[in-house]
Amino acid sequence: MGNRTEEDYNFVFKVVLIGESGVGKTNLLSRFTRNEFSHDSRTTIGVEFSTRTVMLGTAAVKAQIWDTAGLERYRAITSAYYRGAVGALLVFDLTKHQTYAVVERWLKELYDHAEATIVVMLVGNKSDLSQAREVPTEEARMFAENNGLLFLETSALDSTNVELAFETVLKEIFTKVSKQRQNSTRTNAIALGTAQGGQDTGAGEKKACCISL
Amino acid sequence: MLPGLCLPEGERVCTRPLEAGPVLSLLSPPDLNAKRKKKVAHIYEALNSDPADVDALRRLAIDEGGLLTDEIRQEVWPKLLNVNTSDLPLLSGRSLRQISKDYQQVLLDVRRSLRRFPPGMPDEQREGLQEELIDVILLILQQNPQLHYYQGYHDIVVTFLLVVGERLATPLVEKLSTHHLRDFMEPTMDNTKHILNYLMPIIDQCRGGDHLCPQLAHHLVWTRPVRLQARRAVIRLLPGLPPSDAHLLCSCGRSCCTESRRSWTATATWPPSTTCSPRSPRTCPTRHSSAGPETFLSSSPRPGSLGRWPPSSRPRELQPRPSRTLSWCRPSRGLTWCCGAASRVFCGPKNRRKTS
Repeated sequence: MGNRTEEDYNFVFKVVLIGESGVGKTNLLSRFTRNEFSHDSRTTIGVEFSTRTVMLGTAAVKAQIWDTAGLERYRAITSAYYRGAVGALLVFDLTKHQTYAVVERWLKELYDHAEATIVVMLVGNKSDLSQAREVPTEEARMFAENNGLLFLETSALDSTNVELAFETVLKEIFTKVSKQRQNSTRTNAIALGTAQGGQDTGAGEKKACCISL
Repeated sequence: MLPGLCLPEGERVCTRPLEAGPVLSLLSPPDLNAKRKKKVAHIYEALNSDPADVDALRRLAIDEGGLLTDEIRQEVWPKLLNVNTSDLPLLSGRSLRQISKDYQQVLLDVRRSLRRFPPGMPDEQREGLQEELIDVILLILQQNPQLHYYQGYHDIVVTFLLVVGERLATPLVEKLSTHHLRDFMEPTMDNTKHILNYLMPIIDQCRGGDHLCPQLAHHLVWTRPVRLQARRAVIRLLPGLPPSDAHLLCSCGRSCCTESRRSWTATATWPPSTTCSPRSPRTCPTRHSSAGPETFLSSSPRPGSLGRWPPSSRPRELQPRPSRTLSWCRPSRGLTWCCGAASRVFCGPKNRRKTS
């Protein structure tokens, strides 16, 4: 997956990072977009975002990644940002079982506000702290399989699987978008024109109409 | 604020010229010293009046240079917030850790607030202050069960703790929380969400005006929704930005402590009920509150009553506006729509660890 300049892209995919407070969402984002990690990463207040443009085959895809505050009281605000997202990383801290125990609630929250076709990956972060692990890999993997989610364990601190996690989600979205476009072209040559999502649509091809999954 | 003006604590404030702001005069150091001395004299004159001239203190607080020193802030902030400092109770929140439902979250946030403390502070001292920070927050929450903690609240409290110490910080932040911040401390963020609706319309209304709409200044100081890049963009949007407003928005090269201290001074000075004075009547939305600054504490708006819009310009319910957001941002950077925190400050170069 190659990098491209930020202004030169074919698609924009909106991806949200969700999960309990302190699981490492902000560091996953900074590791992916800037290759940075901070031990005293500040609390996310409300919502922030970063972008990174990557190459998927011949297409330049700009990942617009929205990092949300984990505190429950912020949900009223953060959930508004799920709209239009085509991908989500639902992050838990594999050294704190409580952050995994509430994953189902997060999933419901996400599906309540986002598109039903959103690509979701369950991410067990902090895999570098293997001695403090409280969530067995297989347990999380099973949960993900049963709920149709992708699954990976990552470490924002030592970079393990961070690229792979975002790359996998983006590729999955890209595949869905490509399939949808093929279907649209096959079934109705002008159907693309009806799939406009306006500015709120998360996945869109530049210089063409926007595409909803 | 004049470019290059040195604060007593050695912090330089807004050393970069504003891109489209007002032309700021350049004064030589002797002129600055004379100005400073004159301002200190004015502040103490207002402080020593009987009763203290709170109106004058407010004006001086938002005037060039703000309140200049922490020593002065320690005396003026209680006046601005109408807190009696003569008989402060000896209370501590230390014993509340076992029973507070918020303790774990507060602990989590305070532990990762290292950058909110002055660089170079010995670890032991900083750790002691972090403990005090937890105590102050838990005590206020325990004494005011109607208030609910939110992430970012700790950023506000730490500013007071660093300037006035634990004992005075508690009543000051308590007063602020029960008046200025109460909308953001309700059981849900619905009201905060509503208030955030005003941000973009206010910017739209103020764009091209002769002055920064006071309500915008207030909103930016209060909700701190924009980080550095966006703040610069806002400054560019507002060619008539007066220096006193511009320095609040521009955090270029400024330490977090300086900015937050000055912001809080301004916050206490521009209370919610007084932020839409008819300074820019053509561009300001109509407000229903006519309370004057001197009565701001007693006349703070009811929750949800920050301002009222004429029917024709009533904002839609909160919908994020990513297109506008994107247009503000440079690639690979984000901005924060933070919630009433009035707390997000750009803290200069981050102590990041890079790995290849």
